Amino acid sequence: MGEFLQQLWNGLSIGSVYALVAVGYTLVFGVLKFINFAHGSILTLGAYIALLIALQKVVPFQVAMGLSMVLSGFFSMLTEQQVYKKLRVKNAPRLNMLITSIGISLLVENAIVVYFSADYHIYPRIMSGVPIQLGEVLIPPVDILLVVGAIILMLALWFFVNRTLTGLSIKAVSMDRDASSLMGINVNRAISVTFFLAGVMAATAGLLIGMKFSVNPALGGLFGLKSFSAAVLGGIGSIQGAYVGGYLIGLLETFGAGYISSNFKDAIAFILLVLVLLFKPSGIFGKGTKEKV
Amino acid sequence: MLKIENLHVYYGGIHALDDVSINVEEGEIVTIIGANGAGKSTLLRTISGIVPSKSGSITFKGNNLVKMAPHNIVAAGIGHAPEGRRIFYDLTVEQNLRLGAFLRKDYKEIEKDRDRVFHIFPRLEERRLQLAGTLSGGEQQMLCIGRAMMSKPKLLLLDEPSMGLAPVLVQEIYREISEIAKDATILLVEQNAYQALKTAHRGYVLETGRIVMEAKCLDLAKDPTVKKAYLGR
Repeated sequence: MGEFLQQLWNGLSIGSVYALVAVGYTLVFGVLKFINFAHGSILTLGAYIALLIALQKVVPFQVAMGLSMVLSGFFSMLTEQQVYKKLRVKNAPRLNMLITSIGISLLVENAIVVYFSADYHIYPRIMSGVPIQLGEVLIPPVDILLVVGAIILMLALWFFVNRTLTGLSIKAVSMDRDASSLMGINVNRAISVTFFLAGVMAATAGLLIGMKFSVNPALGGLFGLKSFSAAVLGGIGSIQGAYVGGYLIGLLETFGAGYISSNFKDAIAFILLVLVLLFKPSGIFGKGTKEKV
Repeated sequence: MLKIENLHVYYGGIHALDDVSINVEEGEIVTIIGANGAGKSTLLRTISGIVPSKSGSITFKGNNLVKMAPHNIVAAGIGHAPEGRRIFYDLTVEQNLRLGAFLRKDYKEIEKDRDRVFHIFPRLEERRLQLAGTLSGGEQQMLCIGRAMMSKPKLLLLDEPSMGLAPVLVQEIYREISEIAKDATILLVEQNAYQALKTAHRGYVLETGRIVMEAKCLDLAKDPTVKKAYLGR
């Protein structure tokens, strides 16, 4: 039982990270109907911006992390305003946007390699590393911050999208771009806000990974792909779907590693992705294929 | 109020609007009738800035609308109930109406206008918390018109409000349009020429992108070619 609860907790903590990243894929897919493969690199960027600020030794690391979340959000927004938007207004095929996003992702990762080298970096420790014992379960303090922080952020995002007028406008743009503009919604602005939110969520995930493990420039690659699988599993375009998908992947991966073999750990997300695409392509919360081209 | 001069629009390689000139005066209901594919919807979509024009001018209350972004055109005072309703299916009736008033900050007045929409379309009030996608066709059309009214437009563009509706519903919708028209200016595009000519003051006939006739609706309804081509008599 202790073993089971321990795995459950581990699954929840890593699932929180996947959920944070997955919701960004889903939000951007909602408004632009394309998979932003540069999204994973925002995670890496967020992790490294905090490190970069911390190395200046001007502000405490907590402040550096806060700044990194905001700056990464703006970077994500800039990729849309300076790159994707230019492709959009020229009516470029979505495939071009997809390839461009892979390009941005490579650019970001390699820029980090050039500046920081490809080595692993360890974050300064801001909380105790001694695990807290809860019954038979050992919980590192950073895990509590990770799970609670992620859940607070996810609830905040859900509230923003469903309960504010700007959030409502993002939903409207996801459903029908032309009709939204007839409401007086500035569609480009709604898309920018979406990219900002997605960027903040991804950067937060990067920071949490950095605090729990370590950071390296390839961080966003695997985490990005697994989170993308999570978004598809939950039903791309659905916020609840991204959350549920993230936790499902986290739990299945942890239990799979714990009870089957840890060699399969990274494969589980992708096996699930293939199964979902085979049997329910629209995902758990997906609504069939209603996509308008 | 609205003045369009020598407008040319190309749409997917087709010369969709060819030298179109129309004007709408304050307080008028003007209709554009024409067959499917004549360019009626394209004209409204061009006014709203969704379709770009090639040449010609569109001025509204002295403002040049050409090259203006759609959301700024809404801000200038044009409301548009588009063809095919285009309501937000996964949002509630209330949320749809709230989005119609997206640019407004006068919250008390927004509520009053929402109540007015509910007064004109009581069925929407009964279904205010229902998802728009679950409404019947007629109710969706009411929501589409109500949503366009929520921006408090000086000019309301209505695109085929009768499309896909049973005859009884068409009459109901048109009764409500006449009600709205009491204090609004309306540019109405319709395939259902009979209803349009009955409701509007003045009309244009659009044929494959060109305006071929302009007259008072009473006169258009008596015109032999209009009768033959659009009224089936």
